[in-house]
Amino acid sequence: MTSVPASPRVITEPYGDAAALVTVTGGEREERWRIVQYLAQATLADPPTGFVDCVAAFDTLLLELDIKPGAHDGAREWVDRTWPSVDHDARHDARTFTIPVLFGGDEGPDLHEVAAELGMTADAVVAEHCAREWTVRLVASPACAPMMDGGEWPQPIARRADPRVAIPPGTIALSGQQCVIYPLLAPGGWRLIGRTPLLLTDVSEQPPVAYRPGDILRFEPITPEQWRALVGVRLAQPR
Amino acid sequence: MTVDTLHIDQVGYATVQDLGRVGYERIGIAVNGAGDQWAATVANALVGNAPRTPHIEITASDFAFTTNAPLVMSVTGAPLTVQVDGYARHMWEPLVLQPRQQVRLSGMHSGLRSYIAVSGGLHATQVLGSCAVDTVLGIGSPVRRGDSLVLERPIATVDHPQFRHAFFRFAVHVPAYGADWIVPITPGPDLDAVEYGERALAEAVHEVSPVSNHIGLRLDGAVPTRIRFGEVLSRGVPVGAIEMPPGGGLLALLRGRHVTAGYLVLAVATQEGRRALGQCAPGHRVRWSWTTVDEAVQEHMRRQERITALQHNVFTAFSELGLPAYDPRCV
Repeated sequence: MTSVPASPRVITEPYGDAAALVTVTGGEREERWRIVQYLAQATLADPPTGFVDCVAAFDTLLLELDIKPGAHDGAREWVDRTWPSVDHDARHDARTFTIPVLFGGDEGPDLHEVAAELGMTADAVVAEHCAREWTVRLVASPACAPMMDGGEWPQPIARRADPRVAIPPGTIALSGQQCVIYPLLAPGGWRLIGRTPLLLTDVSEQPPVAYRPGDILRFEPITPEQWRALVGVRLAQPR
Repeated sequence: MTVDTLHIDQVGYATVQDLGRVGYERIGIAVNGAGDQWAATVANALVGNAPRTPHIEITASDFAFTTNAPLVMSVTGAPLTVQVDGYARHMWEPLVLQPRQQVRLSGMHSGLRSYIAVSGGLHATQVLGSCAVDTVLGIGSPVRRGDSLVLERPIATVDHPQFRHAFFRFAVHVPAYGADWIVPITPGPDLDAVEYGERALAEAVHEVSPVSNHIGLRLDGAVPTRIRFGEVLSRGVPVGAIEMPPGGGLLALLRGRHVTAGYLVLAVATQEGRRALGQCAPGHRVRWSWTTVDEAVQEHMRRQERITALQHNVFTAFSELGLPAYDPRCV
């Protein structure tokens, strides 16, 4: 039996003196995410009064605001006025990036363990990972990390019980049906399957990161020789 | 031509900071910047600088430098002893230095961070519009002994009797410092996911754990019982969010935090509360005081008026002496 989800509702509430939290409920998951992204994009062209910055996630948008009387009311009115213009049929002009990855070994120390848990061979995990199109859902901490959906593993991939303290830059990690790349040295509890030699975040560039929410990342296995030729090369915008 | 500098004679942990890297949280780059924004802003205001001017932030340690140029400086933040060539001087007021004078700061207590601003500011490498230290991105580095920090805009020699007069002492609001902090908070989105959350925090005393840094404070102590379960999807969290992680205790997020998180957020510290959290040292105790967003905004506006008044007074006094200064009317 399929249930018909209610149409989306958007609520804006104070989140402390300097922020508001916009929460989208109802509708499909994709629909909620699209509204959040639409609002985040709208802050660039037509921001609410006193807008400082925003953080777009799956079904919430954090709006950071100047601490001023009326700022929260202004933000709520802006959201109420802006979100209904979202075009659910409009296809995001998604670009596809190809990420070269050295799988397994020291670069992906959890690959064999993950494969065993899934009842697959390591080669099959790599082939499956590279067959999928991974959609960037949010660009977040640490350092512009792309949080991606798109796994179709037979079961969700469990996190480590004890998170690692230092994961090398470029490491590709899995949890549940999600994937993330750690652009810079960071702690984390996800399972590490490989590493890209590319430089993803470069603060000397504007923008510091090439991909944005809605873009597609595909992964492609490389050899250690190919790795050496790609170390430190910046991930470029696709043609 | 000699460069006008501060030569660092002694340092524990100090960095060159500003008020933060604004506008990049949408791609996951935290704002960072001075832990006590009030003290940093006042330090700059006292020497005629705009609020976002690079200054020195000293964390829980002694600090000494010698200048080779005349300048106006100020020291604010956590209480400590200020000496210029061995003579005691006051915090929270402009101090005139002549070339070759040595400034020594020691015995910081009742807080974690103190600030030095110099007229014209310090030269600092700007990355994405700010010199704020970002340990994740590797921006900025601690000041070392023997370093020479370059002055952005040296001033002509100042020798005026006004600097020795009370006239030059501006009435600065000095907030409370100590080992017991009262942090004003407003309700967070998950306060109803715990039992009697409001009362639980109102009655709680938390102790700052040594496992704390500029990303967040870990706070040991009782927490309310969770009564609503279910996944919290990763979402944006503001600086000052008071989270309840599953492992016990609370986390207070500071300016270097990850911009998204999936823990329950029980409350959010107000601007004044964030200032206090930025001064909390390990072993300090935190009590929570509920307020409303409207009251927090009003309180901030009152403080902002004080800053503007101070900037105006400094501008007037400096202008009479022919010194350049930030004019708050030209924003």
